[in-house]
Amino acid sequence: MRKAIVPYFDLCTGCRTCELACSMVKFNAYVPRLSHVQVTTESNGLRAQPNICEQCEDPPCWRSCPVDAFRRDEKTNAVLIIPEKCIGCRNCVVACPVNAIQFDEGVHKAVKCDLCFGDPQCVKYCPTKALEMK
Amino acid sequence: MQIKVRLFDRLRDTSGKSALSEDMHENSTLRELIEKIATEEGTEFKKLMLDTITNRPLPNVTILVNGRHNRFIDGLETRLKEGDMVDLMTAMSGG
Amino acid sequence: MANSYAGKILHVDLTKRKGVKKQDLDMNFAKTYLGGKGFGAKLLYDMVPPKLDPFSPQNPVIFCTGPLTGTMTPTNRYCIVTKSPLTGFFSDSYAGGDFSPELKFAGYDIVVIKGKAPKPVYLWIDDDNVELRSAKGIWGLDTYQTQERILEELGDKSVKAACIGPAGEKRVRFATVDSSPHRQAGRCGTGAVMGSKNLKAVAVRGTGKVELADPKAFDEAYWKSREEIEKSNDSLTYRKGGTPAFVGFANSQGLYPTRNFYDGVYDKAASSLDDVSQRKYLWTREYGCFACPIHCTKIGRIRRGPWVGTETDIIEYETTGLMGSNCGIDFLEAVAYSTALCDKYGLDSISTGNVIGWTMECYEKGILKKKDLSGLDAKFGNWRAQIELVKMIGERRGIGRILGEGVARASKAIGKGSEEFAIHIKKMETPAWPPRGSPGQAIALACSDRGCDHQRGWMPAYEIGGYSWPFGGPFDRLSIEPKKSQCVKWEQDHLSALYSLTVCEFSRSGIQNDTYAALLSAATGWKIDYNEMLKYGERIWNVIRMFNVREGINRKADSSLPKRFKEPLPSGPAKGHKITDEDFNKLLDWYYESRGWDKNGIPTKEKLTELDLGNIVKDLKK
Repeated sequence: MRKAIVPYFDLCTGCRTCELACSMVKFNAYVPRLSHVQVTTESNGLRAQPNICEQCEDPPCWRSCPVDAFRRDEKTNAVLIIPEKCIGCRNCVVACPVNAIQFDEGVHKAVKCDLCFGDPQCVKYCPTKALEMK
Repeated sequence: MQIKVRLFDRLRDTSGKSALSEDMHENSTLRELIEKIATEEGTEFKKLMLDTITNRPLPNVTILVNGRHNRFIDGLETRLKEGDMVDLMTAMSGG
Repeated sequence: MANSYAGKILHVDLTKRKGVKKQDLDMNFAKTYLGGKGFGAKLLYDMVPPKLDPFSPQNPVIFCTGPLTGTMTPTNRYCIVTKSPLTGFFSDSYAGGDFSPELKFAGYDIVVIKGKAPKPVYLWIDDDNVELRSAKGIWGLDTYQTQERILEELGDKSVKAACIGPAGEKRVRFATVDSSPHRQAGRCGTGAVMGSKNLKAVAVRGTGKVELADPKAFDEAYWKSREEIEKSNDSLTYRKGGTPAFVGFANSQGLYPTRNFYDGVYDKAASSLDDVSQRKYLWTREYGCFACPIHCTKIGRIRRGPWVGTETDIIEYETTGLMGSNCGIDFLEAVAYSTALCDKYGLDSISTGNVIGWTMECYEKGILKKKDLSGLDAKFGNWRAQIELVKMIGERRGIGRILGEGVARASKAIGKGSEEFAIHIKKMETPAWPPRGSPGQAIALACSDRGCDHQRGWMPAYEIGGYSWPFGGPFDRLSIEPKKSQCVKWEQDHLSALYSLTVCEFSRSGIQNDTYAALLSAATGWKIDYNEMLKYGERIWNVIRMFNVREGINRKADSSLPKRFKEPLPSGPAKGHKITDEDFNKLLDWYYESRGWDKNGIPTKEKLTELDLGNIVKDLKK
């Protein structure tokens, strides 16, 4: 039974509060480029679309990793990167079909949504409930 | 006598109307008018207008009589006359 | 200790081949002027000598962020400061979206651009890497196309850009700077200054971070601000209906500019331009600027009529007034279309609607004839004529050549009595909150720092709405009393402080003053309470006043109300009201008194010294 964060574009205003919430909890600063949720504008501005890892059943990121630096969270089944094992090759970043993995240049490792281990901050901070953990 | 009432912002949205015409006795007060409208327009509307305990208009509700704030006339005891225009609003901002 | 400033000022001299320089942000400077409006005010004061031609290469365009820019509050506007080609005075222009935070993430608090590029260029700020790129093939494009082209050329849709359109290129004196989606920095002609520099756009990619001095305290203040917004009827009304939610109010109170400000009640359907109508016929999605929980603005598409499919955003209250009722037009889709044209050309829609309203009156009075207007039957209500006039102004052809100079200069050039109904103060076109029926507005408009402006003090809230301000209660609508002038002074200081953070004023509808102080303190690590914020505001306001004093501002300039406002208001609950010279002079005297300025509107040595502006005192003597 997998959990993932599901976006609702009709409720998304494009305000990117989620990006700030995620980056603050993960990096202790506002750094939206590293946020694990990224909001893009589509259809000529008619739609704001939050983009976030779907916690795939058969994740291409994991499959592409040469050192098996992935595991599943016991509680949520989220797909997690094991930072100590990650060699920074970026295969997973490229493999993800929705560009849901970010690369932290500072520590030279890939980073991704871990559902905040069951208490997702993006969901908590979103002013319009456009994100839901299901 | 007929008193014209205009509704704005959330009051308009909740009642679905931007104007009302209220049939009131001669010399009715503003208080009587407000209570009548608040009752007629339903619970949601009433909650926006009145404090549920004291039944007085909430502090952020603006009530004008012919474009003048009621507190500079006789407050809620202001006596209304035929043809008066009362404006009810809960928000006011520029932009 | 970490704080929310980026720590760097970027200087760009467009004239030089290697004109890029970086400077550390001096923390004393930051602590004295805070950010945004404050930074811009001080820098412009220091950089621009009196009487400089605004189109001179020496006139800088200064993009300023504030200490709360890039953080999780609705304080993410960008502030562009320059000497205005419209008024000849100080100007600060603001727009939302997410351009401003990107500058902070790229590592800059301020970007100062001076000089003039030999050929059209755009500035590309890619974190540390800053370069000028040729705008060949981009110069001439409208603002929408410009955004697309730049993002395509740079190969990254996440780049944020602020650009000018043809109007700025052609130096229309009220040309805007535009960023995506649909955000405009308007009123003062900043776009024209960029155009005069051959600067088509500023594009930014910022991959860095903004830190907080006290993340825990900030988070507490943030959730408090969220609560305050949810409890505020003003914020909730903005959320549901945006600024056009106030069309009904303005029209009901005789404040809605109609037919070149002749009247304040629109006899046609003002409601066809309001939020209910726009929601039904235009809007598709809610748009929230960076980190804003209110999301007052909307984006959509015209769904019926001749312009089906045209992308639009919300028609703001001001624009419904100036492009709608002020021109006698209630055809919603036509106003949406002509406003979209303004956005594409990069034209301020308030000034454009004001100038077109004036043109229509000239036509109806026979001062301008069809042959002067390329055959247009430019009477009030003719939306076809309005659309053509927008194009002519944006392209500066035909009558657009003169109209692009602004209503003050245009009426001077045309003459024949048309100056009498040119509705401006200090050459800035009057916006959709005129003073008849709300006399305190006369002082707010006349004494705004950047010209005739409704965003430096808004008096209907206190005169009609029964709102209280921190130093007093509401006012009787038509009374003439000292406290009204004092209230204007407080609004100006209050907004100067907020605009330095760079707060979006629609968010201040809900967020309380102490909460802003708490957010600011937590972000910077400085303990600043609201009263101190007001002192910053007053200081910044006086620096700007001294800039304007050097440019010749005085009581006479502050007193130049349009003749129409001294004539009785034809309709509405304040029918018959007018701003008499006697009443205005009383209000003005009280205003100068509350400011600590002399009777001519010049700051005194004592006031400047009190505000730690001793270094500016010497300019009083000149």
